[in-house]
Amino acid sequence: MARLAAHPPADDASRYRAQVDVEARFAAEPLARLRRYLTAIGAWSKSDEAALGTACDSEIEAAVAAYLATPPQPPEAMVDHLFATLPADLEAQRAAIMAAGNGDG
Amino acid sequence: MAEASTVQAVNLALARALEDDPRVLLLGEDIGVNGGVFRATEGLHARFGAARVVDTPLAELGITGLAIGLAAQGFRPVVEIQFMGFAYATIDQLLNHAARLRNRTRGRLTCPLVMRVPFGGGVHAPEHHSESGEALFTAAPGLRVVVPSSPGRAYGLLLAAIRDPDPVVFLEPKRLYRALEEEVVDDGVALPLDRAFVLREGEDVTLVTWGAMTLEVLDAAATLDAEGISAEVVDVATLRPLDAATILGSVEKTGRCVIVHEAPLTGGYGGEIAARVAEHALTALLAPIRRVTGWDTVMPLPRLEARYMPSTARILAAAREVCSWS
Repeated sequence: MARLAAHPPADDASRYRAQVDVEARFAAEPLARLRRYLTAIGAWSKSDEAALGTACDSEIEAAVAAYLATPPQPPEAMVDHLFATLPADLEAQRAAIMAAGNGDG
Repeated sequence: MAEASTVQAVNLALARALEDDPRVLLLGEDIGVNGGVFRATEGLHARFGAARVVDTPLAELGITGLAIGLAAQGFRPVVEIQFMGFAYATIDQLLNHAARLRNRTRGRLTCPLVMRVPFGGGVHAPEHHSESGEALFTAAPGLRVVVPSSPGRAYGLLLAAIRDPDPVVFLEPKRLYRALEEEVVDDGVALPLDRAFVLREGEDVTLVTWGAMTLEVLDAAATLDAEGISAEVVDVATLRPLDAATILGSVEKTGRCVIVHEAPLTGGYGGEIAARVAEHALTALLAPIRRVTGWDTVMPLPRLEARYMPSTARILAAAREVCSWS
């Protein structure tokens, strides 16, 4: 399945693929086909979809808010998760990282 | 004459090489129609055609194998790997084959390929997009490893790499891609490989570096100058084969050596340079050799990136410390 959206936000996919191809891929997209099938057999409705959309939006907004509310890890966290315990050879570097502090980070 | 950024200088050199030599062809992911992830190949697909500017499948190991075959049969392939983190996938082909082909066949087959890899941090990129893995490549006998530090050196060294009869890993510091512009004369004149560049002459301390770190090192040298410390700045440019003579000559003059690189300390290429200085210029040293490097860890994500990168302040501290010895 080809991806439907651009790659990173800065990507302008129209540079390298035609809109008609993208439209064809949207038509064949498995989730869209599943929606058509479920709607046809009466197992899915517009209100079901609206509710799902609202629930998904809330979940995403909550995750983004939680991320933005998370303070940056302290600089020494850079070396705290490489090994189960900090090797002696890293102690001096960890001290130097801490001494440099958060000032210009 | 036109001003060019580093990425524009790369583009000019690639266009010049394609124009001058029908054996040259470019291979890489999205380098053709899309002009490359950093736009280094912008316009080249339209100008030179799909047979010479080739959009490949997303398969770094396959691209490298293809380039080795082309090189062995007389082409001059120039591969783009989008980020250093993806170049690790090419190590098998590069180290086991590209670097050895001449030696294995006693010169019957050669491998004049170039692998261009944007590398290094400081651009707030995600994981696998910011590393400085140059020492993995300098560890391979038979590979040239070249790192430009300005638009002009990107142009001249890339042309030299493409014309070189052996494989070259050409590491482009992406922090420099659009950081500055300078006059670049598109005259097809290459710069010498295997030669370091003295970017600033000085008497008291030798600062050895390469790539994007030249920005901080030159800043530090200017600050030191105002303090009465005269720093010489050596841009290694070709890491391997190393121009030891230029570094040793400088250290014999100044008596002090600080090596600066973005890659982690342990196993970094600064260790090789320090060893050469210790082996061949010990009696000239007035102070211990110092290294200012990234820390021994995985390149952190953007929020801690600035804490990882060697800062001008750290370079200054090391330079002042070695100058306190006499």
